[in-house]
Amino acid sequence: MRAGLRRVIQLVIVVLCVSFFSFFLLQLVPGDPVTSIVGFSSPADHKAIAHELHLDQPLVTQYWHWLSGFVHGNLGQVYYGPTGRGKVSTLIGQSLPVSLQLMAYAMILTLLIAIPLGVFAAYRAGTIFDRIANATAFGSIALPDFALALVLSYWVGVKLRWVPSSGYTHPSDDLVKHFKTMVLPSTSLAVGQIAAYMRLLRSDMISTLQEDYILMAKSKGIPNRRVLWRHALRPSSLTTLTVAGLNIGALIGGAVVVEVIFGIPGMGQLLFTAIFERQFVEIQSIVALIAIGYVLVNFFIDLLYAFVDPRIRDARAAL
Amino acid sequence: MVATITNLTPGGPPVVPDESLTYVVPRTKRIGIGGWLAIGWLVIMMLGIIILPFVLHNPSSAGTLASKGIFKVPGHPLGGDGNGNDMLLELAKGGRNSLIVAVGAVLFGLIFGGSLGLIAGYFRGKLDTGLTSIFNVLLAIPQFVLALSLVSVLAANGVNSQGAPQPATFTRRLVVLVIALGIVSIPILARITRANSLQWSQREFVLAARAQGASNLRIMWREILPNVAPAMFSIALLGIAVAMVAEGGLSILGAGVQGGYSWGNIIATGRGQFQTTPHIVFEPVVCIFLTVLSINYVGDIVRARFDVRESTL
Repeated sequence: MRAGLRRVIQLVIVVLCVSFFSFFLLQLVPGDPVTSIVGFSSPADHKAIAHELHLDQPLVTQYWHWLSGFVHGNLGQVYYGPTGRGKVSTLIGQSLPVSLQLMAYAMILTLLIAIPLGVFAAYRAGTIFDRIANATAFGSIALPDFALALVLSYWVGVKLRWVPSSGYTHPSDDLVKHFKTMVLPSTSLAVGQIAAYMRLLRSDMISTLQEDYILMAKSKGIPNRRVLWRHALRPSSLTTLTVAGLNIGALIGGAVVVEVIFGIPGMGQLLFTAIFERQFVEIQSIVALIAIGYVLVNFFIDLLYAFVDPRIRDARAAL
Repeated sequence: MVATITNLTPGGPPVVPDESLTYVVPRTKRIGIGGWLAIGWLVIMMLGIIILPFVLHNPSSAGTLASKGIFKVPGHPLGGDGNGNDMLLELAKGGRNSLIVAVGAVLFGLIFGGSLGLIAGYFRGKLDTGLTSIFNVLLAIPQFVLALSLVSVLAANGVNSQGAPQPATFTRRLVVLVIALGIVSIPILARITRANSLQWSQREFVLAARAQGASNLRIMWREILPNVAPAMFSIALLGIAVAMVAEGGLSILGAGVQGGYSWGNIIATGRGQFQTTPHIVFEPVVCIFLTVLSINYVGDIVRARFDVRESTL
């Protein structure tokens, strides 16, 4: 229990650090932040905006205002000239679900393909199938997701015209069209992930298959299929799970670029526009949200870890 | 970068898999055909980047290819770009900047991350705890998002007194990219250096050096660094590949080098007329792919030779 408490405290500290970093981004902008955001403004407007952003206060107070706003769902404003305003939270409210959909599809696709492939490659380790799967995986890891996205959008979208090469349809408008627009972006994201997960699962699975209890299970006459899926898969998924946290970071980064390539109005597209329009307050909030989300995901993966392997749960309890 | 962590199972003897079963593509100390192909591409690419701009550069021919953006142009094996320039020349010039950014960023990471990791691993204690938590916070932000946000604020176009945007110069963008990607690579390089220095600083020769009255700085520089270097460099090699891909992604988002070419920048520019002249996009994509593939392959061989475990990451 004490170990659990320590983890939660660590989590809070990391979240605070990450949020401070996101807040600090505005301070890193060269020159006067107000002028950078709204361009030319009258002295009165300039002063009002500086006050609105608490720029006239010490750094710590600024951070406190920003953080309490963030916690209460006030993610700041987008500035259209000295007087125009829009709410960042509204924009994020529209974009976040789209990004989550995209990443969920990519993840589902990854697991559906990577797990059977990894298990089978380990079971048939050293055979032609294994070698081909491995070589393909090695190549796919070197293929940047934007490269795959560009190739797919050209061949499948432009040349073959199977699916639209860009754009997004909301699932409630037209479900079939929705999947058609999402298939290329999710595939672009999934291929690299499949390769990474497959390689990891395969190498873990090979070690597990050498264990005595697998021999035991086999000697009891349990069919291979059952040994692989019921006895070997769970203890082999540990490394894969650990690295899943890191891979989700790559997935988020990849999604940013892939969304822009396919014109999908998610968080990546929002961040892209915010950078282009120099909406630094919006950039702060988006970066903070992504980073905190990533930290939380990693925290839960860590918890999940103990569920997959009871030995780790016991080892931790003993500490 | 994907780390492989093996043998997490607590308790029990480490599982030593049968050699014949752990066949992972290039996990061998021999260089082999693939290794020579990889080295070959890297050498050809480097030579091309250095030599081609001098050979092909001809100011009077710039922008003169009659059929702009056409792939099949006699005398120009890779065709022309949208402005009527020779693609081969553009790729060579772009490759130079891509490589400067990638190598520069990793060098930045090696210098800062390496020394911080060395300090943390050598001195241990509170200093180690403090530095390690800083690395962990840096790792808590998705790498690409971290790089993107740093570039977006650091390379923000300045504004003059009238509020009109002043575009950041090419050199400034190049420096900002190196710093941003360098910062991203700091925690990774620092952690591998730390993990290795932790082990090496326990060795007898370190004790011997200390008994002879060597200063901490001297021990770190002369005794530990040479032993840690192979691990640092093999991870740094992979870092170059990662930085190169990141540069491409950033360029597509308009946060790369502008006003001068890089492979990512050529892709970003070519995307405008993607449907009619795809070769402008695909050629740099192939260059990035082959380079990353070669670096990864060579990196794996180097790691097998020096027996660097990614698990220490």
